[in-house]
Amino acid sequence: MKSLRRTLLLNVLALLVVSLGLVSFFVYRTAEGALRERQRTARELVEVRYGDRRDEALRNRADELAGEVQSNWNRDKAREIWLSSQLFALSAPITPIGHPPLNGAAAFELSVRLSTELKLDENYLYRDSNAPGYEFVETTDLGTHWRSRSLASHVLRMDETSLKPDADARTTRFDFLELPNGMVVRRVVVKAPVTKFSREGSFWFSRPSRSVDAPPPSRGVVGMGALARFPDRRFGPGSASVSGPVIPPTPSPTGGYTSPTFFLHCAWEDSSQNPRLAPLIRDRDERLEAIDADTEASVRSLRSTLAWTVAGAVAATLFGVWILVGLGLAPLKRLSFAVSQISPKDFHLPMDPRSLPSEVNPVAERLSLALEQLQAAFEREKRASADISHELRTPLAALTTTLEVACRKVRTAEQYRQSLDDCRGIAKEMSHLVERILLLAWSDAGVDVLRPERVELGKLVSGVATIGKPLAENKGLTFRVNVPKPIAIHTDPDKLREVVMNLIHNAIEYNQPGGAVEVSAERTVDGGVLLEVRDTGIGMAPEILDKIFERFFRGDPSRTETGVHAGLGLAIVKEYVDRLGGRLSVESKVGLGTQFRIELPNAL
Amino acid sequence: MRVLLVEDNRLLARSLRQGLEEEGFAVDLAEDGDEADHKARTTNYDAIILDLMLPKKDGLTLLKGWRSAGKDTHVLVLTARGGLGDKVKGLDSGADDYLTKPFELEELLARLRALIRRGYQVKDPILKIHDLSIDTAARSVKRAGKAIHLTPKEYALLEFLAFHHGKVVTRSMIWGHLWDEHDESVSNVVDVYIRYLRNKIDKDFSPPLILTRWGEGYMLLGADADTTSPPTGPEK
Repeated sequence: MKSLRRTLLLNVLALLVVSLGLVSFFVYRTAEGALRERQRTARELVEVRYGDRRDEALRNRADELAGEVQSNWNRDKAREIWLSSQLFALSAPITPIGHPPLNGAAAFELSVRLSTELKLDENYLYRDSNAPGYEFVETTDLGTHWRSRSLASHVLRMDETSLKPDADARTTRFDFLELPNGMVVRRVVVKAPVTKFSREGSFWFSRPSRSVDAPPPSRGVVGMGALARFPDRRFGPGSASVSGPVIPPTPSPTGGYTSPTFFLHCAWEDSSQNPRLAPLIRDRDERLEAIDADTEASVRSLRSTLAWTVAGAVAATLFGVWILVGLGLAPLKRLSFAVSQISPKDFHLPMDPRSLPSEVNPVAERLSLALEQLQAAFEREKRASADISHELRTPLAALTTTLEVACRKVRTAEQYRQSLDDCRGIAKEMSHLVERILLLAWSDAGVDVLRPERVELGKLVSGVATIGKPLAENKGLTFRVNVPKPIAIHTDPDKLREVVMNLIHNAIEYNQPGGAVEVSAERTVDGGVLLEVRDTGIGMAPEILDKIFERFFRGDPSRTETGVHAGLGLAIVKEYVDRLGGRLSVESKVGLGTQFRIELPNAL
Repeated sequence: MRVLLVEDNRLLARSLRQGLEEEGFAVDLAEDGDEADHKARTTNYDAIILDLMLPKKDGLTLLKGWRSAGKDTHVLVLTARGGLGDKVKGLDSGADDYLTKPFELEELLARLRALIRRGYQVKDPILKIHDLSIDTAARSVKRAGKAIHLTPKEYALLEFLAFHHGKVVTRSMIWGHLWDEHDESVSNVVDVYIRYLRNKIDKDFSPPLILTRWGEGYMLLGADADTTSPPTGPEK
């Protein structure tokens, strides 16, 4: 059996699961999107930070290497000196005034060109014995190039014009390069001036202040590395501070000369094999991992929060619905209890429908009403069956008594004949009664079908009158039929005949000596017919008039002249007139007579 | 014994009357309430058989009227209404017995006899006076062990005398209780029946039980001759 509570619960559950599922899905999607966005931003930040730090490291490295280049230049000082002495010796015989000034710009340029070889010690470069190089260095000077072996034949070319010479004369530029072997590297180009021009001074005498975060790659280049550091502007052309033995290129008041510059390209692959990059990459990866882990944890926590929330909501709702449905069903429970109290002996619904909520109230009220009607019908049935049994018992008693008396002793043939005759009379009376009861029962049960046809009312009435007339004349009554012209009507002739017959019987039976019975029929203005049965009989008091159509009611039970006296005649009349769709009315005055009127519509 | 039969169904009334008369009852018939009321109030019946559904006056109304008027004739209600409620209502209205239609004639007769015995305060259905024994149930009479055949009328007369044994019963009492309203027999019919009865009861036996009290009536000898006082029946 279906349980209302369970059905409701299941439906609510399904609804809840669907709606909560949708809500959680969208919440999850949105929140996860936000989390992923945050993750992406954080990752970007880490990447940017890593890029900055890498660039810084790269620039530091480039500066170091630039310093190294400068120190290499310095190391060839002997060669410069050699070249200078050669030049000097060569110029002595040419110029009579002696020693030509070699401090001029051209001479400086020349000496630089001749003495400089922008070469780096490969040992300073990061290389792996197996892997291809991950540090690629190239130095470019006024037309001369030096490339690290890691570059093999590649050339780290660059558009020198894009590196606009600035007033600083030292600048850096970062970019990404794709090497011909497909490797993408980060390059920094440092434009550095050649700062150390000391013909006799030794570089290790100058010990300028050192920056702590730029350790020299080797002891031998400490000084120069430090000197080449950027952005120490001490050596810039605009710098006024000169320390130690370091001399030119100091701008001369006469216009001076520009310090020679060289470019140093340094390129790194993003590889943890690079010891300088390794901590950065490690740091970056750790951060990224932390961010990813954090995000995953957040997503997991979001998921579990949502799951628990949904589960909690479902549980709470189920419990609530269980309780609420129980509360909602309480009136029904009360009603069903009340209904269970109804017994065949007591049809009363033992509860006040007004105490029920408005949804259930109509049910209870209808039920109460139906029960009342049922009880009334029951009572009617009971009374009817009592009446029927009563009506049958009297003739039955007469029958049995007659038979018993006849059989008590031997009698004459004439006596037996008389007894049998009595019995036949009683049986006839009973069968007549049973027939009438059945007529009503059929009509009640609805198995009695109307068979309407075209009927000539005058013929029908006079047909009935031929039966009634002798009875009336026996009693000394005047019997008149008044149907002036033919009236055609569409109705069930059998039922109408029964109606007229019953009324005529009554009119005869309840008449007074010398009275009259009149039957008349006429067409009414609305197309129907009006049938009247009038008598000048004893009439009926108003209190009797109310009851005459009740079954088994008899105004005066002693009247049995026509043989039909079970109190069913008028009940049948009423039933049939109703079935025919007509209207029955009666007027009566005690001592003067009674008039029955039947109004029938023309069509059924 | 004289009974009033109140019944509006003519065929039933006719058969019933015949059956009762053949059992030795004197039967008066009433077909409606008014007639019944009139007869019951003017005649002392031994019992009334009363139908409840009557024209003019309802049976229960009649019964209540009689009881409130102090009329204590035994009434057997005979009706088609067989419900318990109807029975209770009938008995509560003063009926002595109740029988529903259709009924067995034998049962009606037995109940009627019982009612009449009760009216004479006799419980034993066999009346014994000296060596005379009257079985009121079987309607048979024995004297000194010898069965005596009596006609219904003779039996009714003997029974009536026996109910009043030891007491003088006047001719008019006998007339009033044993002959119905329509009987137009000659006035000495009672004496004739007494003679018939003596021929059958006393002729061959001794002592004679039916005594004649000149100027008063007849008397059946008391149970123990002169020593005990006879049971007194209701003065009818």
